[in-house]
Amino acid sequence: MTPDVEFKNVSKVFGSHTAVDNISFTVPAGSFFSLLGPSGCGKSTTLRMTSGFEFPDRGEIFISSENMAGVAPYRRPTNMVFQRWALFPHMTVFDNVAFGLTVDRLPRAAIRTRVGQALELVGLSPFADRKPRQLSGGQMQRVALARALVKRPKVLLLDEPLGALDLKLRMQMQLELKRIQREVGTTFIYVTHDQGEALTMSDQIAVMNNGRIDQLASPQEIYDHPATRFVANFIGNANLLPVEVESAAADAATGLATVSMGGLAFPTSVAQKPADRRGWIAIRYERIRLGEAARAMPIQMQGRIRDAIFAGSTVHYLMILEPSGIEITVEAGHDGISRPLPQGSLVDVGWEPGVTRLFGDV
Amino acid sequence: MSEALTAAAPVVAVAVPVHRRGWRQKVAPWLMLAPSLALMLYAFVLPMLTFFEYSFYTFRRGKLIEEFSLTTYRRFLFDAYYQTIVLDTLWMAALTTVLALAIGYPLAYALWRLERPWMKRWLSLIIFSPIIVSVVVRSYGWIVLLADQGPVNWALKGLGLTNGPVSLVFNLTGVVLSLAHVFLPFVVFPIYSSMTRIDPALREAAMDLGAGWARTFRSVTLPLTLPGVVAAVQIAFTLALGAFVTPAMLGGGRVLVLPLQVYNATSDINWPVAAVGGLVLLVIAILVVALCNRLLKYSEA
Repeated sequence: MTPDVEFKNVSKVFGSHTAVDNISFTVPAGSFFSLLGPSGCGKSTTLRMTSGFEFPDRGEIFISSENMAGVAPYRRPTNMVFQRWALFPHMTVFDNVAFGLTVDRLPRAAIRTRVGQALELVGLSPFADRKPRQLSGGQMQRVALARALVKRPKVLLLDEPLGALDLKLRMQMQLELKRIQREVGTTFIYVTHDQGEALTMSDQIAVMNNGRIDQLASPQEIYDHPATRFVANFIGNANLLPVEVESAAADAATGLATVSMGGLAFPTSVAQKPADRRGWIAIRYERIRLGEAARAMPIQMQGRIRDAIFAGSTVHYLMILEPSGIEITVEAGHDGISRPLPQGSLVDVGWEPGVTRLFGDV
Repeated sequence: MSEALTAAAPVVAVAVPVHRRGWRQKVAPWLMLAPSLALMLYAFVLPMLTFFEYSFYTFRRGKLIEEFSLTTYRRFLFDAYYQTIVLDTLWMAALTTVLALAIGYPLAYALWRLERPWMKRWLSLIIFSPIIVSVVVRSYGWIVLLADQGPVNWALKGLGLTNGPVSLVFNLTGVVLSLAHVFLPFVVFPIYSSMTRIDPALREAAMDLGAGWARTFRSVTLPLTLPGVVAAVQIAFTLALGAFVTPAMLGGGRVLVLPLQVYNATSDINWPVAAVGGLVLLVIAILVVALCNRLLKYSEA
């Protein structure tokens, strides 16, 4: 597939702050691509450089193989859904959506049809004559989406469009966005700090940190095989445990390295090869098994339960591993019948070698 | 009866302190309002009432006749002399407002778009400067600038735009120029503040949807700054209506507006004409303010 958007060694500096630091990536046509990271990681700047509101200090940006250097926002085949939607308060819903088409001087009949289609796509046909302030947050969000999509952009840019909505509505809109993306087949570039959003909707996620892309992969790859400690920490809930590296070289047959914790050696999958004997493994809360289930696992140790936190569908156990004395958190499913394990009890702890990731001590 | 009283007693006991605090909360704003209310009453409402009374008297052969009559009102409405004064006053105020807007709106826009804070500060100071200078000093300045042998005429001649001097002062031109100059801050700042209230993302959204600068201005910035423009019109127009020193000095006796007429009438002790003149000014000002408020509501709806 031809790439719709391509960044080549792009950097952007604001004063003494490097917002985007030499990033390169390609977005395949028709895909849902997310830029995920904490605030200040450079994801919004990356999006604004794609839309043309910012220009890179170094590097090049291509949209449909065309170099975007010096191309103003109003000449780019991109449209944007803004963070707070930025609807024109003095125009009706219809006029808001029609704006981009009137600017392009389309015939009036064509504008009517296309605005009608766009409003139908987002389920807002009955609201065409309302002013933005007469709409709910979710409805304004849909207007913003229709206004951007009606221009049939090659690439739709979305800057945390769901951030201002409440949780229930956000979940609903996630599914809705995914449906619309499939229906129109446009490339979506979606900026968010919400890992849940990125995981549910994206074909590909670029996790950004300090102006760089730490990992660019599918949601499952990013969740199951985080490439850096930052990614492991930022996405999902993971324990980061200090280990001694016994042999960093991955075993030819299994692809696993050997580490030890409190004198107990066990295999682990490798994300980064540590430079010396100090390393870290990341393991997700829910990948650790307790009790009966643990005894079926290749890697086994014991732990004492310090605290149990009941969270409805799950129970979080804070535990001290023995003999290492390392503290970990375990997320165990709650079946709605059994009582949580009692505080102070010593239980078996176990996991599969493939679920831990080894990182260097950086 | 006695049962009802005993039943009510505990309620009263609780209610007293609450009630007292409520009383204090109600009185405090009035206490703070009192000085300004007293001033308004003594210096505005009472004189206006006296004026109102005087407006019904007549003035004949240098004497005030304290009898109810509508003669003066009739003269203001039907006498060509007074009609001209009222229309000239409105015309001067309208020209001043248009000129102040024509200079003020781009100035407000520039102030809004300037990025460096120190440039903003200096530009604000320049916009404010006409108010800092005394009206008499400023008026003499304009007289010198606009005189037949003054720098403006010299420049016009030098550029070959005119042969002889253009009379820019001691007529309406000079008055309007000088008034627009001094009203500039009253025009710039309401417009500027309406600009700063525009979400920057709106202009970006317009550009993102394909609108260049001109289209973005026409479709987004201008409509959203109209409330500021209306407020500016309100202030500039009402201030121009009441202007006295500038028309007196720069009009050279050729610009007879209502405040001057009121002044002249007062010097002649012609109280009825002064009173009706003052009331006409007040009514026009109220009408303008009301009309502008109407426009404002319409533009926001």
